[in-house]
Amino acid sequence: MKRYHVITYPIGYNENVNEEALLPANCDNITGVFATISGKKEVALSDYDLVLPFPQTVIVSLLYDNLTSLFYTFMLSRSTKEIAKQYFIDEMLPQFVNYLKNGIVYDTLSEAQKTVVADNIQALLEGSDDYEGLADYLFETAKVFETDYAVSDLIYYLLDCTLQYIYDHRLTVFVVTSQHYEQSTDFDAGNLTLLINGNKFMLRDYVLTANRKLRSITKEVVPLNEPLESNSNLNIVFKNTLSEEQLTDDLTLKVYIEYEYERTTA
Amino acid sequence: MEEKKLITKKKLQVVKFSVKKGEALDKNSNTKMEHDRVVGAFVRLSNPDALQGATIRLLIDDIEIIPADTEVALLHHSDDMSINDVAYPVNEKAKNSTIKVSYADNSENLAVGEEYDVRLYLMTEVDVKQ
Repeated sequence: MKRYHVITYPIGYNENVNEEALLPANCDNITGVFATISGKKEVALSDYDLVLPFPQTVIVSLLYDNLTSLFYTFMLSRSTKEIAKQYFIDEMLPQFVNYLKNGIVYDTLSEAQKTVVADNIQALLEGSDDYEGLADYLFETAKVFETDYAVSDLIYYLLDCTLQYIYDHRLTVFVVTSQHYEQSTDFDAGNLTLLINGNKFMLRDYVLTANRKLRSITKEVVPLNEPLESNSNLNIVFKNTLSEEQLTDDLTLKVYIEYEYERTTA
Repeated sequence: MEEKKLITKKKLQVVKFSVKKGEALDKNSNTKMEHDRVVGAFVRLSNPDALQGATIRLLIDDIEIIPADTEVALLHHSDDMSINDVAYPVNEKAKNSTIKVSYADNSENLAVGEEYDVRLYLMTEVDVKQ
């Protein structure tokens, strides 16, 4: 039967470890060993911009399902661009705002963040200091009134322009502020030496990297075959090689020992 | 009469519990009566960001399978790995044995919500005569 055993040492500021540890009483044969070291730091929360995925499918279905019918009465019945644009602002823009603002919902965001996105969409469509507004975009930039599309195609041209307009501003509209902790990256912390009964080396000057990504136990283990007499002990010697900037008072050394034992059944 | 063969079927058992930030908790449960053996164990967290510093201990029938202070990261199954590579091999009797899990969170300064779920998976085997 295989089992493993964990030995933990907290390491203080600029300290080394020179300790003698007892192995488990039923340990007959050490079959593997590995060690990890972690240095967690107390860090402050910091803000960062979380860019949300662009909800293209949602926008397309909102536009095409709800707004196509609005256009049939619109384009041909207006004689000049000014009248058409005023009609668009008065009658149709509120529908765009209503459907898009209430239809694009990121469920995983907090209520405050949802409000930010909804407000961004409203400002984008109605126009503000940062955005020209959907009406200006359609009539001035995309020139929907001057195009010679047939009415049936014009509807889709309008919706495509709307989608294009939202897409062009996706990096400022679909963004919320979120908070995270900045974690320390990995660094070489020191050398580890493991000795059995003061004379047999299991590891010698083995470099330990703090905060590295851990793999599963079966992949971490350094295989060994070290038969033991009863009441053996283990010397753990850790010499830290941290530079002055790296020194921390919160390192934890863990030594894992995988061993075999004869199981006595009752 | 034809002799029946003994076939081993693989099963899973899940022990699920919620952990709050900075909390250490014990969870007691039992292995299923119809399962014969526990042959492996691995863990999954609903938020893998909480892994750093978290420790776990597992006892089955009061035998320490996973010793105290073991880092959860060593037993954690990420999406890009095979379960067989991650699971720690054990060989214990199932059949309504007691399970005791001690989990200690250490995610105060990690980007983790107030609460997350931990699932301990026990890989078990059932012997069936067919």
